[in-house]
Parts: sequence; C-alpha cells; structure tokens
Amino acid sequence: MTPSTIDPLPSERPSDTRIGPETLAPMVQDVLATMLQLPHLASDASPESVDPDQLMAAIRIAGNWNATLQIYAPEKLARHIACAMFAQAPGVLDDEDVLDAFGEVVNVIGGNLKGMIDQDCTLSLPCVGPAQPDSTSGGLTIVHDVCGAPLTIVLVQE
Amino acid sequence: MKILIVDDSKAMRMIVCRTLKQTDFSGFTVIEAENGIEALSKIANESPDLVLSDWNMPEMKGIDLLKRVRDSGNRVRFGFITSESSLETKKLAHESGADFLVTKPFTPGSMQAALDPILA
Repeated sequence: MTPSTIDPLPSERPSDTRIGPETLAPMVQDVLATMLQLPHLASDASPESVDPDQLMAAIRIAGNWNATLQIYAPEKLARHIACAMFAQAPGVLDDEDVLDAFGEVVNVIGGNLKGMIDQDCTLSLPCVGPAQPDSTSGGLTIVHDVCGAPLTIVLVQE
Repeated sequence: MKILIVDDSKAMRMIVCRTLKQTDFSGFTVIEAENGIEALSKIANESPDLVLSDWNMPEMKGIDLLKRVRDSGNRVRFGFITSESSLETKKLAHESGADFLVTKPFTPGSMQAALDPILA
C-alpha cells in the first residue's frame, strides 16, 4: 500500500480569495471620509508614473492569504493628510509626523482588508518612504482624487 | 477619570484623543504610551481607569499587553482600537479579557457606543 498524502485542513489551505475594486474602493473611501474627513472623488485616471516627489506606504498581509498593499501620494498630499489627522495647520508638522500619518492610513486600510478576508494571516507594521520608480505596476490599482491630488492604492495579491 | 491611549502612531493617538472629546463623556484626562512596554509602566505607575490600545504595534502587540495586564491580576477596563476586526481577532480579544473592540476608522458615535456600557 502506498502512503496517501494528507490533505491540509481547510484553514491551512492558501486562500484563493481575490479582492476586486468593488471591495477595496469602499474601504479606501471610508478611511478618507471617516478618519481624514477630506474631500475626495474616485478617479478613472490611470496612476501617474511615480516621481521622486511621491511618498509610498506599504503593509503586508501574510499567511493563508498573501498580499501587499501600497499607497502613493505626492509629498504635498501626504502632508495634507497628516494635517487632517493631527488637526494642525501646514508648517506645524515635521517630516516624521507626515510619515507617521501616511503609514497609519495604509495600516488602517490593510487591517480592514485582513478583517474582511478573515483568514489566518498576520499584518506587518507599515513602512513608509520615497516611492520607487515603476513600483505601482502589477496589481489592482485604484486612484482617488483627494484635495486635487492623486492618492493611488495598489493591492498586489499573490 | 484617567484614560491611557496606547498606539505607536502619534497621529492615531491624537485622533483617539480628539474623538473622545467629541463624545458625551467629560472630565477625563488622557495619558499616552507608544508601545506595550511603556504602557505597562504607565499602568503600574499611574493607575488609569481605562486603557485604549492598538493591536498591531512594535515591541509588544496589544494582545500581549492585555495578557500581561490580566496575568498580573489587574482588572483595569481595557479596549482595543484596531483596524483588525476579524472574527478571530474579536474572539481572541474577548477570551483574553478585553472589554470591547472599536474598529478603525471610527466615529465619535461608534466610540460612544463602545464606551457607553463601560463608562456609563
């Protein structure tokens, strides 16, 4: 008799769940409206090519479902977001505050995604820094116009 | 009443504090900690009446902070404010002794609803 392979338990199988724009976009809108209270519009525009002036924040979900969520914004918009979160006027916040606020935005969206997936996964801590060229390609991408500037959200699902 | 807000994000600590001020609760003072280790020290030294903690933090995760607090016999009211609101997270929080969990992003209304049974 040949030994049979043991099927993994359902909870141990990698999930084939795919997130589409109809799921991701409302999460982003909720964060923009509730947490930031900033005027925003979903945009049909293609994501702009990444320039050195853009900031990127990223967070990874790993486990039975694996994905990386990235958000991109021009430095001016990231500062605007930080001003909204801190309820401070421009010029008061330092660069560290801007990075902190931008990282928290991706953290909240990523946490909501993880909660929606409800698989056995872990959420990394957010990392924030200058965007890398061409890093917006290859995933589900949505763009929101926030205060006249593009906020690009990219979800790369493995 | 003394409320300890634990979050590694300074921006989020500020939002939580601002939202608390927008609820019907008044007469509270806020102290802050940016990770679980600092929170343990402030819980021991400043005896807050309520702890509002993030879940996903460096140094010590919120759930480990709660377990350390409960293991020491401290029954301080403890709630999570987290973006991670999966059923698994809620179950673990409850089993570990959390009083409530508020999902980010939150409003003054959702914060009020979570705190009403605790502080009323």
